[in-house]
Amino acid sequence: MITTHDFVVIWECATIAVTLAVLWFIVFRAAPERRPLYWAIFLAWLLAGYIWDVNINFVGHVEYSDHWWMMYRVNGKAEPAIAPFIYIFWEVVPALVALHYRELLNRALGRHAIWWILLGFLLWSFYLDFASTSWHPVWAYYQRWPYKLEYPLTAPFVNDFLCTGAFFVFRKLDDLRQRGVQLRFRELAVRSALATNVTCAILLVSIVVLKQLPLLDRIPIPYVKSQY
Amino acid sequence: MSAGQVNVVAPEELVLGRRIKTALVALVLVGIVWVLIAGHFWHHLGRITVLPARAGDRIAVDVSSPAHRAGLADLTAVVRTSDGRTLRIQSDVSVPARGEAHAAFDFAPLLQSDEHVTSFKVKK
Repeated sequence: MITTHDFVVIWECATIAVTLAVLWFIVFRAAPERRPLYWAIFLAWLLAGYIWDVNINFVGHVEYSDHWWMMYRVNGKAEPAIAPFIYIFWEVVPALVALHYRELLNRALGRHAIWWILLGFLLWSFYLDFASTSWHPVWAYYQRWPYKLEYPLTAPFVNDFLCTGAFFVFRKLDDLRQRGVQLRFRELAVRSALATNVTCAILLVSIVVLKQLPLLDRIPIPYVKSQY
Repeated sequence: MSAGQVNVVAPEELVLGRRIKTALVALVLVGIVWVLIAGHFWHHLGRITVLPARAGDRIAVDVSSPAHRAGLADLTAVVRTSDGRTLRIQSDVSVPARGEAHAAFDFAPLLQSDEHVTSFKVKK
Protein backbone atom coordinates (compact mmCIF):
# COMPACT_ATOMS: atom_id res chain seq x y z
CA MET A 1 0.00 0.00 0.00
CA ILE A 2 1.24 3.45 -0.84
CA THR A 3 1.85 5.48 2.28
CA THR A 4 1.61 9.19 2.85
CA HIS A 5 5.37 9.45 2.90
CA ASP A 6 5.55 7.59 -0.42
CA PHE A 7 3.13 10.08 -1.92
CA VAL A 8 5.19 13.03 -0.75
CA VAL A 9 8.40 11.50 -2.09
CA ILE A 10 6.78 10.76 -5.44
CA TRP A 11 5.42 14.28 -5.60
CA GLU A 12 8.79 15.80 -4.81
CA CYS A 13 10.64 13.58 -7.28
CA ALA A 14 8.12 14.35 -10.04
CA THR A 15 8.37 18.06 -9.40
CA ILE A 16 12.15 18.02 -9.47
CA ALA A 17 12.14 15.84 -12.59
CA VAL A 18 9.89 18.28 -14.44
CA THR A 19 12.07 21.18 -13.36
CA LEU A 20 15.20 19.39 -14.56
CA ALA A 21 13.49 18.58 -17.85
CA VAL A 22 12.67 22.24 -18.37
CA LEU A 23 16.25 23.23 -17.54
CA TRP A 24 17.53 20.63 -19.99
CA PHE A 25 15.20 21.97 -22.66
CA ILE A 26 16.33 25.56 -22.15
CA VAL A 27 20.02 24.67 -22.16
CA PHE A 28 20.12 22.08 -24.93
CA ARG A 29 17.03 22.32 -27.09
CA ALA A 30 15.78 25.90 -27.12
CA ALA A 31 16.51 28.19 -30.02
CA PRO A 32 19.51 30.31 -28.93
CA GLU A 33 17.78 33.59 -29.75
CA ARG A 34 14.92 32.73 -27.41
CA ARG A 35 16.99 31.22 -24.64
CA PRO A 36 17.33 34.41 -22.57
CA LEU A 37 13.56 34.87 -22.66
CA TYR A 38 13.05 31.29 -21.49
CA TRP A 39 15.43 31.81 -18.58
CA ALA A 40 13.56 34.98 -17.70
CA ILE A 41 10.23 33.14 -17.79
CA PHE A 42 11.63 30.35 -15.64
CA LEU A 43 12.95 32.73 -12.99
CA ALA A 44 9.87 34.94 -13.12
CA TRP A 45 7.46 32.09 -12.45
CA LEU A 46 9.62 30.66 -9.72
CA LEU A 47 9.73 34.00 -7.95
CA ALA A 48 6.04 34.72 -8.48
CA GLY A 49 5.16 31.18 -7.42
CA TYR A 50 6.89 31.56 -4.08
CA ILE A 51 5.35 34.94 -3.43
CA TRP A 52 1.92 33.75 -4.52
CA ASP A 53 2.07 30.65 -2.36
CA VAL A 54 3.18 32.50 0.72
CA ASN A 55 0.53 35.18 0.19
CA ILE A 56 -2.33 32.86 -0.56
CA ASN A 57 -1.59 30.34 2.16
CA PHE A 58 0.08 32.19 4.97
CA VAL A 59 -0.49 35.94 4.63
CA GLY A 60 -3.91 36.32 3.05
CA HIS A 61 -5.17 33.14 4.68
CA VAL A 62 -7.30 32.60 1.66
CA GLU A 63 -8.44 29.05 1.87
CA TYR A 64 -7.71 28.56 -1.77
CA SER A 65 -6.84 25.04 -2.67
CA ASP A 66 -3.30 24.66 -3.70
CA HIS A 67 -0.59 22.09 -3.94
CA TRP A 68 0.65 23.30 -0.58
CA TRP A 69 -2.73 22.35 0.80
CA MET A 70 -2.47 19.02 -0.94
CA MET A 71 0.89 18.49 0.72
CA TYR A 72 -0.65 19.43 4.00
CA ARG A 73 -3.47 17.05 3.41
CA VAL A 74 -1.29 14.03 2.81
CA ASN A 75 1.61 15.00 4.99
CA GLY A 76 -0.05 16.60 7.98
CA LYS A 77 2.14 19.67 7.56
CA ALA A 78 2.93 22.06 4.76
CA GLU A 79 6.53 21.08 4.79
CA PRO A 80 7.91 20.75 1.27
CA ALA A 81 9.69 23.98 0.44
CA ILE A 82 9.76 22.94 -3.17
CA ALA A 83 5.99 23.22 -3.46
CA PRO A 84 6.12 26.33 -5.71
CA PHE A 85 8.27 24.38 -8.18
CA ILE A 86 4.95 23.11 -9.44
CA TYR A 87 4.60 26.43 -11.27
CA ILE A 88 7.40 25.28 -13.52
CA PHE A 89 5.05 22.56 -14.63
CA TRP A 90 1.83 24.57 -14.52
CA GLU A 91 2.89 27.83 -16.10
CA VAL A 92 6.40 27.61 -17.55
CA VAL A 93 5.85 24.44 -19.58
CA PRO A 94 2.82 25.72 -21.53
CA ALA A 95 4.47 29.11 -22.10
CA LEU A 96 7.65 27.49 -23.43
CA VAL A 97 5.71 25.10 -25.64
CA ALA A 98 3.64 27.92 -27.12
CA LEU A 99 6.72 30.07 -27.73
CA HIS A 100 8.97 27.27 -28.97
CA TYR A 101 6.40 26.24 -31.58
CA ARG A 102 5.12 29.75 -32.13
CA GLU A 103 5.77 29.99 -35.87
CA LEU A 104 4.59 26.45 -36.53
CA LEU A 105 1.39 26.99 -34.55
CA ASN A 106 0.75 30.30 -36.29
CA ARG A 107 1.03 28.64 -39.68
CA ALA A 108 -0.89 25.50 -38.76
CA LEU A 109 -3.72 27.10 -36.81
CA GLY A 110 -4.22 30.04 -39.15
CA ARG A 111 -5.61 33.46 -38.42
CA HIS A 112 -7.12 32.61 -35.03
CA ALA A 113 -4.05 30.77 -33.74
CA ILE A 114 -3.85 32.75 -30.52
CA TRP A 115 -7.42 31.82 -29.59
CA TRP A 116 -6.71 28.15 -30.13
CA ILE A 117 -3.58 28.47 -28.02
CA LEU A 118 -5.55 30.14 -25.25
CA LEU A 119 -8.13 27.37 -25.43
CA GLY A 120 -5.21 24.97 -25.06
CA PHE A 121 -4.10 26.81 -21.92
CA LEU A 122 -7.59 26.57 -20.52
CA LEU A 123 -7.77 22.84 -21.15
CA TRP A 124 -4.30 22.44 -19.69
CA SER A 125 -5.56 24.12 -16.52
CA PHE A 126 -8.54 21.79 -16.41
CA TYR A 127 -6.26 18.85 -16.91
CA LEU A 128 -4.12 19.94 -14.00
CA ASP A 129 -7.08 20.34 -11.71
CA PHE A 130 -8.99 17.24 -12.65
CA ALA A 131 -7.07 14.60 -14.46
CA SER A 132 -3.67 15.01 -12.89
CA THR A 133 -4.99 13.92 -9.55
CA SER A 134 -7.29 11.02 -8.95
CA TRP A 135 -10.97 11.70 -8.46
CA HIS A 136 -11.03 11.29 -4.75
CA PRO A 137 -8.60 14.07 -3.76
CA VAL A 138 -10.13 16.38 -6.35
CA TRP A 139 -13.49 16.41 -4.63
CA ALA A 140 -11.89 16.97 -1.26
CA TYR A 141 -9.76 19.67 -2.77
CA TYR A 142 -12.70 21.72 -3.94
CA GLN A 143 -14.40 21.62 -0.59
CA ARG A 144 -11.88 24.23 0.45
CA TRP A 145 -13.00 26.63 -2.24
CA PRO A 146 -14.12 29.68 -0.31
CA TYR A 147 -16.99 30.85 -2.43
CA LYS A 148 -20.52 29.78 -3.10
CA LEU A 149 -19.41 29.59 -6.69
CA GLU A 150 -17.27 26.74 -5.53
CA TYR A 151 -18.40 24.29 -8.13
CA PRO A 152 -15.20 22.87 -9.50
CA LEU A 153 -15.24 24.97 -12.61
CA THR A 154 -13.63 27.88 -10.82
CA ALA A 155 -10.10 26.84 -9.96
CA PRO A 156 -9.02 25.92 -13.49
CA PHE A 157 -9.94 29.44 -14.57
CA VAL A 158 -7.71 30.81 -11.84
CA ASN A 159 -4.78 28.86 -13.19
CA ASP A 160 -5.75 29.82 -16.72
CA PHE A 161 -5.71 33.49 -15.76
CA LEU A 162 -2.18 33.11 -14.43
CA CYS A 163 -1.06 31.15 -17.44
CA THR A 164 -2.59 33.47 -20.02
CA GLY A 165 -2.02 36.85 -18.41
CA ALA A 166 1.72 36.43 -18.14
CA PHE A 167 1.96 34.68 -21.50
CA PHE A 168 0.80 37.80 -23.33
CA VAL A 169 3.77 39.69 -21.90
CA PHE A 170 6.18 36.88 -22.79
CA ARG A 171 4.80 36.91 -26.32
CA LYS A 172 5.22 40.66 -26.51
CA LEU A 173 8.85 40.33 -25.45
CA ASP A 174 9.31 37.78 -28.23
CA ASP A 175 7.66 40.21 -30.67
CA LEU A 176 10.16 42.88 -29.66
CA ARG A 177 13.05 40.50 -30.28
CA GLN A 178 11.65 39.61 -33.70
CA ARG A 179 11.45 43.30 -34.54
CA GLY A 180 15.11 43.65 -33.70
CA VAL A 181 14.80 45.39 -30.36
CA GLN A 182 17.83 44.53 -28.28
CA LEU A 183 16.71 43.60 -24.77
CA ARG A 184 19.30 42.69 -22.20
CA PHE A 185 18.67 39.71 -19.97
CA ARG A 186 18.12 41.98 -17.00
CA GLU A 187 15.30 43.77 -18.86
CA LEU A 188 13.76 40.49 -19.91
CA ALA A 189 13.90 39.18 -16.36
CA VAL A 190 12.43 42.34 -14.86
CA ARG A 191 9.59 42.55 -17.37
CA SER A 192 8.80 38.85 -17.05
CA ALA A 193 8.87 39.04 -13.27
CA LEU A 194 6.58 42.06 -13.40
CA ALA A 195 4.21 40.16 -15.68
CA THR A 196 3.95 37.12 -13.44
CA ASN A 197 3.80 39.05 -10.18
CA VAL A 198 1.28 41.62 -11.41
CA THR A 199 -0.90 38.79 -12.71
CA CYS A 200 -0.68 37.04 -9.37
CA ALA A 201 -1.34 40.28 -7.52
CA ILE A 202 -4.49 41.02 -9.54
CA LEU A 203 -5.74 37.54 -8.83
CA LEU A 204 -4.85 37.63 -5.14
CA VAL A 205 -6.55 40.99 -4.64
CA SER A 206 -9.62 39.84 -6.52
CA ILE A 207 -9.83 36.70 -4.39
CA VAL A 208 -9.36 38.61 -1.15
CA VAL A 209 -11.93 41.22 -2.17
CA LEU A 210 -14.42 38.65 -3.37
CA LYS A 211 -13.98 36.83 -0.10
CA GLN A 212 -15.28 39.89 1.75
CA LEU A 213 -18.41 40.29 -0.35
CA PRO A 214 -21.53 39.16 1.47
CA LEU A 215 -22.84 37.80 -1.80
CA LEU A 216 -20.14 35.20 -1.75
CA ASP A 217 -20.48 33.61 1.65
CA ARG A 218 -17.58 31.47 2.50
CA ILE A 219 -18.17 27.80 2.80
CA PRO A 220 -17.00 26.28 6.07
CA ILE A 221 -13.84 24.39 5.52
CA PRO A 222 -13.53 20.83 6.66
CA TYR A 223 -10.38 20.17 8.53
CA VAL A 224 -8.59 17.61 10.60
CA LYS A 225 -7.71 18.98 13.95
CA SER A 226 -5.70 17.12 16.47
CA GLN A 227 -7.10 17.03 19.94
CA TYR A 228 -3.68 17.09 21.45
CA MET B 1 2.53 38.36 -39.71
CA SER B 2 2.42 41.79 -41.28
CA ALA B 3 -0.25 42.85 -43.76
CA GLY B 4 0.42 41.80 -47.30
CA GLN B 5 2.91 39.11 -46.30
CA VAL B 6 2.40 35.85 -48.12
CA ASN B 7 1.96 33.02 -45.67
CA VAL B 8 3.10 29.73 -47.12
CA VAL B 9 1.76 26.77 -45.23
CA ALA B 10 2.91 23.25 -45.94
CA PRO B 11 0.14 20.66 -46.36
CA GLU B 12 1.38 18.64 -43.38
CA GLU B 13 1.15 21.76 -41.25
CA LEU B 14 -2.44 22.26 -42.31
CA VAL B 15 -3.14 18.67 -41.30
CA LEU B 16 -1.41 19.26 -37.98
CA GLY B 17 -3.49 22.38 -37.40
CA ARG B 18 -6.70 20.54 -38.14
CA ARG B 19 -5.72 17.76 -35.75
CA ILE B 20 -4.92 20.22 -32.99
CA LYS B 21 -8.25 22.00 -33.46
CA THR B 22 -10.15 18.72 -33.54
CA ALA B 23 -8.42 17.55 -30.37
CA LEU B 24 -9.16 20.80 -28.55
CA VAL B 25 -12.83 20.77 -29.54
CA ALA B 26 -13.11 17.09 -28.60
CA LEU B 27 -11.59 17.80 -25.19
CA VAL B 28 -14.07 20.62 -24.62
CA LEU B 29 -16.98 18.31 -25.47
CA VAL B 30 -15.63 15.54 -23.23
CA GLY B 31 -15.22 18.10 -20.46
CA ILE B 32 -18.80 19.30 -20.79
CA VAL B 33 -20.11 15.74 -20.57
CA TRP B 34 -17.78 15.07 -17.65
CA VAL B 35 -18.98 18.11 -15.73
CA LEU B 36 -22.63 17.29 -16.42
CA ILE B 37 -22.20 13.76 -15.11
CA ALA B 38 -20.15 14.90 -12.11
CA GLY B 39 -22.72 17.59 -11.37
CA HIS B 40 -25.49 15.04 -11.44
CA PHE B 41 -23.75 12.97 -8.77
CA TRP B 42 -22.41 15.94 -6.82
CA HIS B 43 -24.87 15.59 -3.95
CA HIS B 44 -24.03 11.91 -3.55
CA LEU B 45 -20.44 12.67 -2.77
CA GLY B 46 -19.46 12.60 0.86
CA ARG B 47 -18.75 16.14 1.88
CA ILE B 48 -15.43 15.44 3.52
CA THR B 49 -12.35 13.49 2.74
CA VAL B 50 -9.46 14.89 4.70
CA LEU B 51 -7.68 11.61 4.86
CA PRO B 52 -5.88 9.78 6.23
CA ALA B 53 -7.27 10.59 9.62
CA ARG B 54 -5.67 8.89 12.57
CA ALA B 55 -6.61 8.15 16.13
CA GLY B 56 -6.90 11.46 17.90
CA ASP B 57 -8.21 13.32 14.89
CA ARG B 58 -11.57 14.95 14.75
CA ILE B 59 -13.09 15.49 11.34
CA ALA B 60 -15.37 18.44 10.88
CA VAL B 61 -17.78 18.12 8.01
CA ASP B 62 -19.64 20.75 6.07
CA VAL B 63 -23.22 19.54 6.20
CA SER B 64 -24.84 22.59 4.70
CA SER B 65 -26.13 20.88 1.60
CA PRO B 66 -29.87 20.24 1.29
CA ALA B 67 -29.20 16.52 1.08
CA HIS B 68 -27.76 16.56 4.59
CA ARG B 69 -30.22 19.02 5.95
CA ALA B 70 -33.59 17.52 5.34
CA GLY B 71 -35.01 16.61 8.72
CA LEU B 72 -31.73 15.64 10.28
CA ALA B 73 -31.01 15.47 13.95
CA ASP B 74 -27.72 13.66 14.21
CA LEU B 75 -25.44 12.38 11.54
CA THR B 76 -23.62 9.12 11.30
CA ALA B 77 -20.39 8.63 9.43
CA VAL B 78 -19.55 5.26 7.99
CA VAL B 79 -15.83 4.82 8.13
CA ARG B 80 -13.54 2.17 6.73
CA THR B 81 -10.15 1.75 8.27
CA SER B 82 -6.79 0.47 7.14
CA ASP B 83 -7.40 -2.67 9.18
CA GLY B 84 -10.50 -3.41 7.15
CA ARG B 85 -12.94 -2.52 9.88
CA THR B 86 -16.16 -0.63 9.24
CA LEU B 87 -17.11 1.80 11.98
CA ARG B 88 -20.11 3.98 12.54
CA ILE B 89 -19.47 7.26 14.29
CA GLN B 90 -22.11 9.63 15.57
CA SER B 91 -21.54 13.34 15.06
CA ASP B 92 -21.37 15.65 18.04
CA VAL B 93 -23.85 18.25 16.82
CA SER B 94 -27.24 18.30 15.25
CA VAL B 95 -27.76 20.08 11.97
CA PRO B 96 -29.70 23.34 12.06
CA ALA B 97 -32.56 23.87 9.64
CA ARG B 98 -30.77 26.72 7.90
CA GLY B 99 -27.40 28.41 7.77
CA GLU B 100 -23.98 26.87 7.63
CA ALA B 101 -23.38 23.79 9.68
CA HIS B 102 -20.50 21.70 10.80
CA ALA B 103 -20.75 18.24 12.20
CA ALA B 104 -17.67 16.93 13.96
CA PHE B 105 -16.73 13.29 14.18
CA ASP B 106 -14.44 12.09 16.90
CA PHE B 107 -12.19 9.19 15.98
CA ALA B 108 -10.13 9.05 19.11
CA PRO B 109 -11.92 6.25 20.97
CA LEU B 110 -12.33 4.05 17.93
CA LEU B 111 -9.02 3.77 16.13
CA GLN B 112 -5.95 1.85 17.11
CA SER B 113 -2.75 3.87 17.19
CA ASP B 114 -1.46 2.30 13.98
CA GLU B 115 -4.79 2.36 12.19
CA HIS B 116 -6.06 5.10 9.92
CA VAL B 117 -9.23 5.93 8.05
CA THR B 118 -9.29 5.00 4.39
CA SER B 119 -12.80 6.08 3.51
CA PHE B 120 -15.36 8.27 5.12
CA LYS B 121 -18.98 8.83 4.19
CA VAL B 122 -21.64 10.81 5.99
CA LYS B 123 -24.99 9.05 6.13
CA LYS B 124 -28.37 10.55 6.72
